[in-house]
Amino acid sequence: MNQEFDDLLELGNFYTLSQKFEEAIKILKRAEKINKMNPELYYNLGMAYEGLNEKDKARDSFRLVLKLNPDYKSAQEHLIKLVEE
Amino acid sequence: MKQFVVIGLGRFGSSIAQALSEKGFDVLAIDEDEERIKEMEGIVSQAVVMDATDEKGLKELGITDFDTAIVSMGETIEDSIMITLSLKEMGLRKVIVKAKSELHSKILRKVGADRIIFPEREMAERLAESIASPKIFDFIELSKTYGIIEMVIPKKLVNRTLSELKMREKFKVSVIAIKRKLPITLPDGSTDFKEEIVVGPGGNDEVISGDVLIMLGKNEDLEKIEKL
Repeated sequence: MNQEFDDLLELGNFYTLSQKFEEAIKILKRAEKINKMNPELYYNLGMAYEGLNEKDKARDSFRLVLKLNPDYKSAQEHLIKLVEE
Repeated sequence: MKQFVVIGLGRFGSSIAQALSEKGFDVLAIDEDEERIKEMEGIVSQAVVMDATDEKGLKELGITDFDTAIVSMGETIEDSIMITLSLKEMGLRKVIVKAKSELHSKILRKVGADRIIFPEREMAERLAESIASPKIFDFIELSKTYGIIEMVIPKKLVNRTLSELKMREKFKVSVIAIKRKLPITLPDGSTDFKEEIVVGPGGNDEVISGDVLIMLGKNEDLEKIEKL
């Protein structure tokens, strides 16, 4: 595991929880440069985009999560919700 | 409780019958097609197979006790005209009729329809609006001049309170509600959203990125905000 990646993921999640979605995206994009294969990263990215109501980007992120892990339940639920809206 | 009769159970008719029923209203559904009626059984209070152009039959069903009729017949306008005419003659207070064209609409008004709807057109207009600008979730035209818009707040306006934004003075619109996604942590540690709606927000309410504003104003003023 890469410590820097984990730290960025956690910080990104913290920003999302604090409703600072734009900051969260910036941080998570930095994490993406380290590891492009982590479903949780894209889930958090999807959540930040959803928080901003950038639905296209949120959809793309949740789709990436499901590519990496087709069983990721929360990502499935969010994707369904966004597609049906 | 209000009672509705829905005549014609195509896609629109059956959807509206179901929606009204889910809202807890008494709904009588009528169609000639037995299959369609079967599908509505258990969903609406009463579903009856009959030819709705049969005035006597309608009377026997006690149609006059209903508050509102929704007439949603298929392709042919003749049936809609006949049914609207007889419902109004029987004294039904409100008859809403689905129309396909302006010409149909004119005729239906002449025979007493209280409201004409163009579901396909209305849906298409809304969809066009939301495809053209993905930040706009909904637009309701109140009149030719006034409307209500539901849109994601433009980036230029975020992180300020409503009184700082001076929406009414600067943009001549009223913010009637703010919809916001509140992040929450679920028991398993993952993040999710809970939707919060601030109705009639005050001057001290701050707007943040991602907020959806519901605003009332002149269409031209609302358009200006869209373009920010």
